[in-house]
Amino acid sequence: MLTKSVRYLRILVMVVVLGMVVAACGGQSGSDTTSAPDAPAETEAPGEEEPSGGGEAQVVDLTFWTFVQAHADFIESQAADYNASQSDVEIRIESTSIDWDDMHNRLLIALQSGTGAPDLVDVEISRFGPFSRGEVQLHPLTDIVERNSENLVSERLAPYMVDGVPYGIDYHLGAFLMYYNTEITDAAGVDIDAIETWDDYIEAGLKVKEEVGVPMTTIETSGGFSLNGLMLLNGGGRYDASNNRILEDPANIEAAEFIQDLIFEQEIAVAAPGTHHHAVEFFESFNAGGSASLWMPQWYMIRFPENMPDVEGKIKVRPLPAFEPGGAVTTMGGGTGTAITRQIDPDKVEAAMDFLEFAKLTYDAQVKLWTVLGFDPFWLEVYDDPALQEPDPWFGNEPVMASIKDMLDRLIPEYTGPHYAEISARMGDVMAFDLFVDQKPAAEVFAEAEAEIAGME
Amino acid sequence: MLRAPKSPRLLGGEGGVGQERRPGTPFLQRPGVVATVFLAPFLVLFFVFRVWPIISAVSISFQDIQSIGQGEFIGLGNYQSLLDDERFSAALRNTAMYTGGTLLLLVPIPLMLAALLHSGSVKAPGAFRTILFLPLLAGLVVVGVVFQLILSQNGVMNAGLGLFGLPSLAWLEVPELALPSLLIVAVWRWTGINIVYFSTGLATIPNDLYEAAVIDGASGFRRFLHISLPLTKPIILFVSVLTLIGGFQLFVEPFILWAQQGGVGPNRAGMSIVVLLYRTAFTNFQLGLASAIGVVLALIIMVTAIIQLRAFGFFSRDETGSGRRRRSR
Amino acid sequence: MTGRSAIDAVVKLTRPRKLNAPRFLPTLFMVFLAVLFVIPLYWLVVTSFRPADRIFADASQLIPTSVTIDNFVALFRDAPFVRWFSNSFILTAGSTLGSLVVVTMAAYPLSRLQFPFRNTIFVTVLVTYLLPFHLLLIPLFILMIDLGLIDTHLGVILPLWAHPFGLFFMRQYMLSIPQELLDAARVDGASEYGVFFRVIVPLVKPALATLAILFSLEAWNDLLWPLVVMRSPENFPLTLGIGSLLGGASFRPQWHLIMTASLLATLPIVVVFVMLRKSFIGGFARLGTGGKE
Repeated sequence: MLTKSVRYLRILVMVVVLGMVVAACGGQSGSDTTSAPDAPAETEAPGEEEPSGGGEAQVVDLTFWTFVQAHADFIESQAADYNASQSDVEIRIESTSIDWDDMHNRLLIALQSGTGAPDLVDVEISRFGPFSRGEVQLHPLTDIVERNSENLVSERLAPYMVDGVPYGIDYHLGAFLMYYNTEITDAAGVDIDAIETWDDYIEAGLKVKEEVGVPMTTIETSGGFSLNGLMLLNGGGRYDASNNRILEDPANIEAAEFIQDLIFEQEIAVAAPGTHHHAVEFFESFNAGGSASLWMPQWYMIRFPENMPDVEGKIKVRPLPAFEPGGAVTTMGGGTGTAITRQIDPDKVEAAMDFLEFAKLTYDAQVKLWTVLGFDPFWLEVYDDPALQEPDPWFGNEPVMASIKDMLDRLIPEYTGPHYAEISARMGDVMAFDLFVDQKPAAEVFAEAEAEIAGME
Repeated sequence: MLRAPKSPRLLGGEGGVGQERRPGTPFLQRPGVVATVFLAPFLVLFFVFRVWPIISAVSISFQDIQSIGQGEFIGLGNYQSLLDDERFSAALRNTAMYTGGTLLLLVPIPLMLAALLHSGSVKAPGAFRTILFLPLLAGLVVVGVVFQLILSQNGVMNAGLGLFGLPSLAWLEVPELALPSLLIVAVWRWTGINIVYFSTGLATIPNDLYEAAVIDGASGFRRFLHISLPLTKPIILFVSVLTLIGGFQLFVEPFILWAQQGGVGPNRAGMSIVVLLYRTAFTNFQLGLASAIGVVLALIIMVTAIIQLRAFGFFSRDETGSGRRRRSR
Repeated sequence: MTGRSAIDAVVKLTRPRKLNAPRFLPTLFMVFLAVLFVIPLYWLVVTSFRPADRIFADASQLIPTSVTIDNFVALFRDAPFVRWFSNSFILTAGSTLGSLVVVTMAAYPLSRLQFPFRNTIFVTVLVTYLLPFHLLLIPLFILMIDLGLIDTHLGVILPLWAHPFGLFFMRQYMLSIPQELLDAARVDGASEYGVFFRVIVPLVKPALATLAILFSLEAWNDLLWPLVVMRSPENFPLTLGIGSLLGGASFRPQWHLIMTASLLATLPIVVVFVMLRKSFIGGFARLGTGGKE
C-alpha cells in the first residue's frame, strides 16, 4: 500500500534536489549582480552621463524600506528625476516594500541590534514613538526643513519632531474631510454646502434618517480615526505642542461625548460595519449607499475608486463642520514620514539629505504628491498649480484640492509624543469600543487610558 | 537486506550498544562515540539556534528596555509589573478559555469523525480525510481575509444560520463572539490533522476485537466506547498535549482575523498572550516586559502539560515502557 | 509472525473485510461537513477570477457574475512571482531535507541507544518546544548578523534544522521498531552505523514522508523568520512577497494580486500532499503505540 507513495516520495525528492540546484544557480547569478552593483555601473555610466557633460557622477546607493509599493515607485522615479537634474551625484535607490507591521518590526530589530537598517525608511506616524524614545536612531533633518520652512504647512512636520528637531518628512498633509454621498443627501433634500457647524450636520442627519432611512454617518469602533479627528478638531488630542500627554483634557472628553450623542441621542450615527473604515463590510455597505457621509483624512479618497466603485460621481468632499461658527474645519490624520537612519554610511548623509529634499520638499515634488500619489500636498503655493485645480469626475466633477486650500487657515495640527503608538493602540483596542458600543462615560474611558499609558513609563 | 559482516571484529553486543566498553572496540564504534556522532549535528544546531537565544531572552526579561540600545537590570521588575497588568490578565483569560475550547472541540470531534470514517459506514473515507486536511495547506494571509468575509454580518456564516431560522450575529465585532470566532477558525484549520492522528491510532487496533464485539451484539457506539476509546488513549494524550501547546501559543488566528487592529479583537477580547508579547515587543518596544511574558507563558504551558500528562497516567507508563524492556533482555 | 498473518488472511477471506457497509446517512453527513470545510477555499479560487474592483463589492456572491484572468496576468507582469516561488522552493526544500537528516540521525541514539544524559537531552528539547518563537526573534537576529547569515537562504534554513517536534516524532516512531530486527542486524555483524542505514532508515520511511509534509508545510507558509533574515526583495519567498502586496490593511492592499498569488502558492503544496497522502498518514501509524507495546 505504501510502495506507490514511497515511489512518489522518491521522485519528489529527486525533483526537489534538482530544482534546488537550478534555483541555487539562478539565485547565485541574481545575488552576484546585487553584491557588486558598482561593476556594471562603471561601464554604463560614461555612456549615459555624457549628455549632462563633464566629470563622472558620484554613485550613491541608498536602500529604502517602505510598506506601500506606491511610495517605493514614487521615490524611485524621484531618484531618476534627481539624477537627470544634476550631474554630480547619481542616486540609486534599492527599495523594499513589505507589509506595514512587518516593516516596522524589522526596522526596530535592525536599529536595536545596531546593524541591518536601511538608509532611508518610511515610518508610519503611529509607529514613530519607539524610535523617538531615548537616543533617537534617526538622522536630524533640520537643514533641509529649515531651508524650506516658509513654504511648508509647518504643522505637518510636528508629528516627527522630538525636542524641536525634525526626523521625518511626510507624503501628505492628511487633512480631515467630510465625504458626502450626494445621492443620499439629495434624496433627503439636504444641501451639503449649507452645513457649516455640527448643529447643521445633526439637523441634516435627522433629515437623512427620516427621508432615506439610513444613518448620516458611521463611527469606527475598533479604530481611532473617528474619535481622534474630533478630539483634535475640538482642540484636544493625544499630545500638546510641547509633547506633553493631554489625554484627560476636557476637549477630548467633550468630543467623545459629542460622538456618543450622535449615536445614542440623535441616533444619526452607527458603529461602522466591520468596526472600522477599512473593513470589507464597510466598503460593501458604503458602496451600496448604507450611510450618507463619513469623516476621514484626504488620503482616504483613493479608497473610493478602488473599493467602492458604485458610488462613482456621487461623492463630494467638504470641510468638517465646525464646533462653533468660524472655528476649525479640519485637522490632520495619519501620516508617514520618510527618515534617514543613523546606520547610513556617513559619507552618504549629504547626498541622502539633498535627495530627500529634492524628492519631497520642492514645488515639483509636492505637485507630484497629488498627481502621482493622490495625496494632499503640504506646500502652500502648490495649491494654486493648474494640476490641483482640475475637476475630478469621480468626485462630483469638483477640484477637491482647491477646496482643501480654503481650509488651510482653519487647520488644527496634530502633535505626537513618546507613547503615541501605545495610545493609538489603546484607542482602537478599547476606547472606541467602550465609548461607542458600551456607552461608557467618556471621562472614565480617558482616565483608564491615561492610567494604562502612565503605567508604561 | 542485511549483509554478511565485513569484519568479525565489529560484532556488537546482543542487547544493543552495551553499557560495558569492550577493550577491542574501535574508537568510532564505542557506544558513547556512536551516540555523539549521531547527535552532534542536532545538538550543535540546537544549542546555537535554540538554547542560546532562549538564554538571551531570559536575561532580557530581567532588564528594562524602553528605547533602542538601552538596557537596565531590574531583577524581577518585569515579572512584578505583569502581576497587576490588566492587559496580561485579559490575555491570560482569553488564551486559557481558547485552550479549553480547543481541547473540548479539537479532541472529541476529530476522534468521533475518525471513528466514523474508520467504521466503514462512510463511502470513500480517504477522500474525506484529504478534504478535511486541506485547510491546513492554505496560506494564512488569505485565511484571514476569507474568514473576515465569511464571519462578516452578511457573510456565509450568517446566511447559514439564517437557513435554520437563527438570527445574524456580528461575529468579529462583539467581545462575546470573539472566542467562538477564533474557535471556528481553529476547528476549520486543525480538525483534519487531528483526524489523521486518530485514524492512524484506530488503524492499529486489531480488527478481530471489533469482530468479537459484533458477535457479542455490541452497537457501533458501544464498540467506540469500549474498544476504540481505551485503545487510542496514547494518541488522545498526544493530540491533547499538542492542542494544549498550540492553544497557549495562540497567535495566528486572532492576528489574521483582526489583522487591521493588530490582532486584539473587539475590546481586546481576542488578544492572546503571544499577541500581547508581540505587540509589547514590537509596537511598544518593551523588550524586557515582552520576554518576561514569554517566559511566564512557557512556565504556564509546562505546568499544565505536566498536570495533563499526570492525569493520563503518562509518567508511570513511561517508566515501565522501553527502559524496562531493554534492561530485561 | 508469519503464522499469524496467515490466520489473518483466512479470516479476511471468510468474513466481510469491513464491519459495516457504507450507508447513506453517514456519507451524506460527511459530504455536508466536507462542503463546509471547502467553502473558504472555494471562495479563494473564485476571488482570484474576479475583476479587481469587484472583489469586495461582490464579496457575498458565491457564484461570480463576471470572470477574468486579468489577475493572473497582472501577477506575472507586476510582481516577481517566479522569483518568490523559486525562493520559497529553495527555503522549503533546504529546511525540509536538512531537518529530515538531522532529526533522523539524532532520534536514533535517543530512542535505541543507552548513554548518559539521554533523557535530559530529550526533555530539554521538548521544553524548548513550549516557548513561543516570537520570544527568540531578537536574540536570533543578532546571532544571524554575527554569523554573517543575514539575507542568505542558508540563514533562513539552518536554524530550522534542529526541529524539536521532528525529533520527538521520529523518536516515537523509532521506539516502535521491533528490537529483534536491530539485534538480528548486529548478530550479522553490522556496526551501529550499518544498523542505522540498513535497518532504521528503510523502516522509518513512512515517518520521513509524514515529517517531509509537516516540515514543508511549515516552511512554505512561514512568514516571520524569513522576514527577519531576508533583506533584498529578490530573496523574498512567497509569504513575504504576498505580504508586500498587502502593505498594511490601511495602505491600499492589492487584494486581486494577493488572492491570486495565494491561490498559486497553495496549489503546489496541495499537489505534494495529495501525492504523498498515503505515506503521510502511514507515518503516524506507530505514533501512539511507540515504545509502549
